[in-house]
Amino acid sequence: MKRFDLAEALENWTRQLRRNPGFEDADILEATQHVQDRVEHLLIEGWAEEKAFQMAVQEFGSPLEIGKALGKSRRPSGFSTWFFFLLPGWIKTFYRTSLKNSFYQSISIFSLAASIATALVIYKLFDFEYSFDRHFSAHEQIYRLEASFYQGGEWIASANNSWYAGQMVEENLAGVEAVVRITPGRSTFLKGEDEVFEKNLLVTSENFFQLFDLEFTEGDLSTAFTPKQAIVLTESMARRYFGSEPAVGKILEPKNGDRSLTVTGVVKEIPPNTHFQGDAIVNIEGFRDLYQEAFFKNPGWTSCFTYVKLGAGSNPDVISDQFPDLITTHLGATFSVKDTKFSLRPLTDIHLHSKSGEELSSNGNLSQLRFLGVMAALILILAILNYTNLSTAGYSSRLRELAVRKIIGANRLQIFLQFLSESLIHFQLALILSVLFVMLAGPLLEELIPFEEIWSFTIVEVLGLMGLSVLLAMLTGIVPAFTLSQIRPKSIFLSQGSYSRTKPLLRRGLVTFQFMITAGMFMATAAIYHQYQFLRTYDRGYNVESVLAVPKYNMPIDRYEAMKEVMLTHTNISAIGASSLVFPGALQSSINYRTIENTDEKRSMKAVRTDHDFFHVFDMQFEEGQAFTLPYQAERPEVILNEKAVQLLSWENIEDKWFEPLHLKEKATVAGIAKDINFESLHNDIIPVAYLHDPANAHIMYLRLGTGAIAPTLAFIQEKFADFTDNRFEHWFVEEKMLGQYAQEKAFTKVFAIFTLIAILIAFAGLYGLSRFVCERRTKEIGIRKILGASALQVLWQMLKGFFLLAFLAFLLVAPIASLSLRSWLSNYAYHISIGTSMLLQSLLAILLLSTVAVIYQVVKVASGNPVKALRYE
Amino acid sequence: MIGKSLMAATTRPLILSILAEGESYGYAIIQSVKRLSDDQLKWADGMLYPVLHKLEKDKLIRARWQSTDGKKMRKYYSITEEGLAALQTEKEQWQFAYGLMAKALKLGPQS
Repeated sequence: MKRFDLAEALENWTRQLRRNPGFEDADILEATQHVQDRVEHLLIEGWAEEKAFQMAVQEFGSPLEIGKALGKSRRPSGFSTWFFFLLPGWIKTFYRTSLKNSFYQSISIFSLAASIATALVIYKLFDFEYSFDRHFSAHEQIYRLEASFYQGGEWIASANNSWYAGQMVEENLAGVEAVVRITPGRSTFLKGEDEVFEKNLLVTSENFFQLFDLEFTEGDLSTAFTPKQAIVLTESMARRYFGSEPAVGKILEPKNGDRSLTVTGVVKEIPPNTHFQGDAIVNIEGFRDLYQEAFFKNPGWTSCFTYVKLGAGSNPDVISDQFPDLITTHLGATFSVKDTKFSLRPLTDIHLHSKSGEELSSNGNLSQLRFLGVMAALILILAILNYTNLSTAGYSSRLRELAVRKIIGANRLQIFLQFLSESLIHFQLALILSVLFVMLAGPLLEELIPFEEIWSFTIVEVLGLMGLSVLLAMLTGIVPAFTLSQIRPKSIFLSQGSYSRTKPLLRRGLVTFQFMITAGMFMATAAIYHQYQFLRTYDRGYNVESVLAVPKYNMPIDRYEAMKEVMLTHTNISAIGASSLVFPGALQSSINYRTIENTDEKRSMKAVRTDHDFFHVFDMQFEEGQAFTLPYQAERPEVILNEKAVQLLSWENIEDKWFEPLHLKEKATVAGIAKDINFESLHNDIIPVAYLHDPANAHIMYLRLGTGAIAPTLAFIQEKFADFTDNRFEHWFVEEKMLGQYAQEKAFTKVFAIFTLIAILIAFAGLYGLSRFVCERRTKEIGIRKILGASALQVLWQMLKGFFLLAFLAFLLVAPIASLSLRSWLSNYAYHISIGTSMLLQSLLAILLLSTVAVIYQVVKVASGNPVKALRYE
Repeated sequence: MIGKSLMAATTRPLILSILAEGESYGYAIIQSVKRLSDDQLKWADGMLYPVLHKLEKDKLIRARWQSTDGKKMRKYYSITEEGLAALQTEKEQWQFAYGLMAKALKLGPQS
């Protein structure tokens, strides 16, 4: 028969009390003590242990009845006890533990603040990017009429359309309420003695303000474009010309003696979240006669951005379905549905979804935005893990406090609320701190989002933010708070508390997850940085170094040739050529052509008009043949094709081949095959191109400069330029502008690097705090190891080993995910790096290094200490 | 043996009077009650505690935790000024009730 065990019987009986909600922990302790006292008494009287226990329990009475009575005795003044007695105690304890655990708590709060700041910035960025064009009141009814043309074997989308396309849609489709076209313009105005070049003018239709309601500060909508030769200025441009005086009624004189413009209105600046930007709006109707007739009539001249406002209730899909018929009926002479498509793009989709290179101002990048969103989420998770990790570590030192609070009458709910409200306070502190961080970091992010945008918070956003931080605090605080409220005070007094010892698995899991996030971010930063460098330094097959571009619009050929001759006398100018292409930029012009193989079918290809020396200036290489051999306007014209074009035509070689640009009405000889080069950004693939020998239409002059001083050379060029033309002297260095194409990548790399740095700091802080906790817990163990003969180095390895294992595990888990998602991101670029093993291994090395640095100080402190002291610890 | 309602009525003055003698804890209070009643008062020991809580809440007694031998935590109760005043009132009421009952029921002096 099993021997009676008094302790066990007592424990079972206590358990019975615990099940009764009337018994608080303090009651249980008191009752247990009572029964123990009674048993001791009965034992002295000579009763057997088992009998004594039975009698004591019986005399104590029914736990059910007593629990009920206890509950009743407590009920009425629960709140007042809490308010007058427990709350002040709790505030005092919060203050004291904050001081005592200030190290862990500062790390937690700092990490939280940094991550909330990151999330805040990214949220504002999302908000900003998604708010584009939504401030126009009719935004839901406005669409952009876009075109796609079948060229070189593929459909090429164009954000532009012809003037005529808009007219056609307006006149023929019911449901279209209004059409507005915008075309960028530039002009030089006189301001007293000075000439001011304005390059951001929006030349548009009379009804512009009906679709795009900008806020007038002078004048109003009804008189905006009366008279026709009118200009509406933005506030900043009005100030530049007229200071604080009213601008309406004043005249702007263009330099070239074109007709003058009357200022009919002043509007507030076009909001930054608008897909077009400009300093002034000009009515095209006042200058209609200055444009060629073809500008308005030729459906192939894609010169303006066309916006369509649909009537209320009109379905864009129904309108779009009518486009093919419209093309066949109205454009049949030049286009067919086989090579032309029209489509409607919602106004609010333009900024984030249009991938056209010819926008009115640069568009957003959705994939980058998503990338940053994921990043912000990861940083937030990282900080929350840190918080959970460090706070549960910190709680183990508070178990005695907890026990005493329970004994003096705090019930489980109160304990639960106490710990939960502590995390609430921490999160609110972090929120305040994060605002400070955003203030400091804002200027660094100026390239992505205007600073004032980060700062404009609506009441809903502020409340949402506070609500979110409360929710996060609940989510992170609820588990530890619940676990702690369930702990029995007796077990704490008897066994030092076992709470923290039961949690290492959870803690290891959290650390592994932190390592995963950090390693993933390392990988991403490395990939983004390498991709940016790759784009910057990619060998495009031509040399843009020291090439200066100078527009020479409408300069007669003979005058250009004469100017070229004079300029080439300068020792620092080695070659001069010209082309129609604004370098770097999108290939805009295309031609229809026939070849020997297809004499019937009309096809279209992108074209660049150049002179003979253009190829020489850029050191372009030829696969076969060479630059134009015949003089301009020789008996038979010449073309040069790129490799892609020859592939498209399926030609083996160019011997005996001809190529007929239809507008020439003459077959041209193919003088050479130029190696494929990428004119546009490396986001796009190379497309087939025909170079036409047409210096008359090659409006941009390119000069290759030597290694001599730039400033005097530039002054010389400007002086000679003025000798030959009245045109304004404009210039840019091709290489500089080309790197500018990757400004967004540059900004992205920078922001990503900042975020990775934040993540590293958070992870580092977490690991540092954790290693301190682990070292404190293992002080005795380390002392014993040292006394048994372990060297400091061995101890160090012993401690590091654990972290290294977790780092390896994290790496194995994250490497496949990271490399897959980075590959998918890189596929947005036609030219990109590949994700190699070495890049992944670097990130492993980085997290190993990070953990070593974070851990080493603590470990060395303990490992090199006197083991006797370590044994006396606690 | 006495009835349930009378027993309930006696509990409060009984505990106050025991604590008026000096600080005590739950088990010891029960022992005193048993001693005073010659074991005639059949309380469930545990029912003492709700009464103690009620008195504590009414500020007639106060409590403190103390470790007895470094291990055992015990809750000690002592009477407050208000408790002493309440006890005095109880005494007067019981004195009156006793006088009344003695006359009405012709109770002789206790032997």
